[in-house]
Amino acid sequence: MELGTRRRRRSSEPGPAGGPDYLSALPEDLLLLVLARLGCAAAAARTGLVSRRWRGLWARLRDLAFRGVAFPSLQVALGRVALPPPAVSLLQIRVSDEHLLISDDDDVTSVLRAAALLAPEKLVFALPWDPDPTSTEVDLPCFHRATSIVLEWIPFVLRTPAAGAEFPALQTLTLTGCQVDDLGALLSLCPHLRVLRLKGLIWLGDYDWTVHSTSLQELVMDSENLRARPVDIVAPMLKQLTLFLHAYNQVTVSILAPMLENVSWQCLYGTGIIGFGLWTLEKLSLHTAEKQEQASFLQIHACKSWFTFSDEEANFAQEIEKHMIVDFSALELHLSAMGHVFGAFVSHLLGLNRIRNAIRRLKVNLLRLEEEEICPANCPCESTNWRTQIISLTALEEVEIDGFRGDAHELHFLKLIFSCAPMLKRMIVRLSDEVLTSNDRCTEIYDIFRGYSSVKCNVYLSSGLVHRSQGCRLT
Amino acid sequence: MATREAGKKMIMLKSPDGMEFEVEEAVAMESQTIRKMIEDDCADTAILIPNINSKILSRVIEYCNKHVPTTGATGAAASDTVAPAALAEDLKIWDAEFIKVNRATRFNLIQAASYLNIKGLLDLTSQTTIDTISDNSLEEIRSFLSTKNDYLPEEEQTIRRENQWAFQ
Repeated sequence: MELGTRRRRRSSEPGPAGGPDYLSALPEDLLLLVLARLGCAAAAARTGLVSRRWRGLWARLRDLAFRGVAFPSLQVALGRVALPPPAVSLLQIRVSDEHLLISDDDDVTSVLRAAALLAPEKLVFALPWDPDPTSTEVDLPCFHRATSIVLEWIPFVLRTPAAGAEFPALQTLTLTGCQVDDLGALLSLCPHLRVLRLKGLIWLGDYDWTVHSTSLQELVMDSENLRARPVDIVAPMLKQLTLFLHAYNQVTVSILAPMLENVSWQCLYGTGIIGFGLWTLEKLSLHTAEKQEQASFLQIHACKSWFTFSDEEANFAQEIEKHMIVDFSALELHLSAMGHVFGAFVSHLLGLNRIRNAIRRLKVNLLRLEEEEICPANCPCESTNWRTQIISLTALEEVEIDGFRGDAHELHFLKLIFSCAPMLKRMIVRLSDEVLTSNDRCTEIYDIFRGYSSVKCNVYLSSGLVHRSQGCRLT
Repeated sequence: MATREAGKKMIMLKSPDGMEFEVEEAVAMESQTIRKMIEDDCADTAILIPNINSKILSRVIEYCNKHVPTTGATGAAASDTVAPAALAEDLKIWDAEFIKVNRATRFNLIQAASYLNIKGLLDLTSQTTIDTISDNSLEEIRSFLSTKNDYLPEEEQTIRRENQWAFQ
């Protein structure tokens, strides 16, 4: 090859021209290293036109990113890549919207098969979001060298390879918007899987979320707006679990994971599915502490329902307890009472065994609406004799109530907490916007505080400032 | 020759043109190749670095000197007092100045970084090279690289046809 032919530069060209062709003279491994920096297989392939030295060089890249390549051409492009060895370290295929209409399952099968022939160590195969996935099955080939596989929005059901085939090196599997014919069978082919992420899952069949794995350490399951399936996890090594459910019925949860440390759990309930009295459960979440000084907490969002749940006490308690998959020491309640009494509902929750014995910190956030209802006589919100109930909250040390208005039933609730929590050290009451500082109700709050001098009590105005009581000494 | 100076272990690096460079062992060990030699106890006397002339070797040492995790007299990392982000930004600016060299030097640096296995320098030199040719037309790339188009017109057509997917 001739080097160093001096050519006239155009003004837009970067850098100097002339002199020997140093780049082409580099040994192939170094030239490939430079070429890999393009980060794009198509751009690398186009350099094949520079000179003979560059011809077909791209096909020996071991770090290949096909982005924006027309889907029908992918199979041809993959077929031109030099087979291993040396091993392909990364094969990334991202098909963008404009190039797409993938309706043929054979095309997807062919591309997957061509990708499997290259035996990449890391595979990313991402198709654009498809609003209309089908139940046609395509074969998921074995990637015997892959340590990481990411599949996104494949609009067909991935058929698990027959038993005997394996993903022996696979450590991380991420499926976004994909369907698998048999998740349990797939996992049984991945003996070294450590991280499994299932996001935006679409399930056409009635498959349970069954995850049985002896190697799994991190699991993410996120159904977004899709109907939750029964969750069945058996994972002795599992340390980290992230799970988002959307329940349109009672959930079925079975988790056997003794090593579990970090949990981020959230379940959204459809309105009117689970409730107690006038209250319907909206959302329930459980989060373990991220830092040492933080507490693991259970969070419950509930609002006043448009009908009354009768005889649902046991169901309600059972449903809530299903989510208590790790220990927690704080309870956060976000309540939209629409002007009704919340004492019966909250005391019912506080009376649940796992909550009563565990919580050291309680936060009640009362959400106010401009248009609230007027509680009629014999309103079902007063379903129990909560005002005289004794719940032994022996671990409770800190209570914060936000949006407090000082209504009679709220003052009763405050008294209930004081009388049930012998170890209480701190009480914070944050007033709602409607309470003026001159309001007599503040005096009533202080009257209650005065009976518990060992508790550090504060009243905050909605502005966030500490309310200064007159005539009583409170720290 | 491995000597001691101000409490720091020194290593002697020799270029094939006879120049000797005494550098701190920590600086020399930025090169994984040299690190392996030291760890395997092959570095008692001066280390000869073949194929890298004194001009390039001095630049490589300059790079390693800048990139070695610095330690103060007490042994505490200097990065304890400077924010890591500021330190990284400073290095980036320094790198950009460092790589403003002619093409011959840059390609010699690529080869040196590859032989001595200095990842940061290899990344810097290869990225700078690719930045100068990406987003340019074929003619511009050829011109910039001083490469003669040695294809026959029909060969060029064949390549275009074979790689049609890349030209869509």
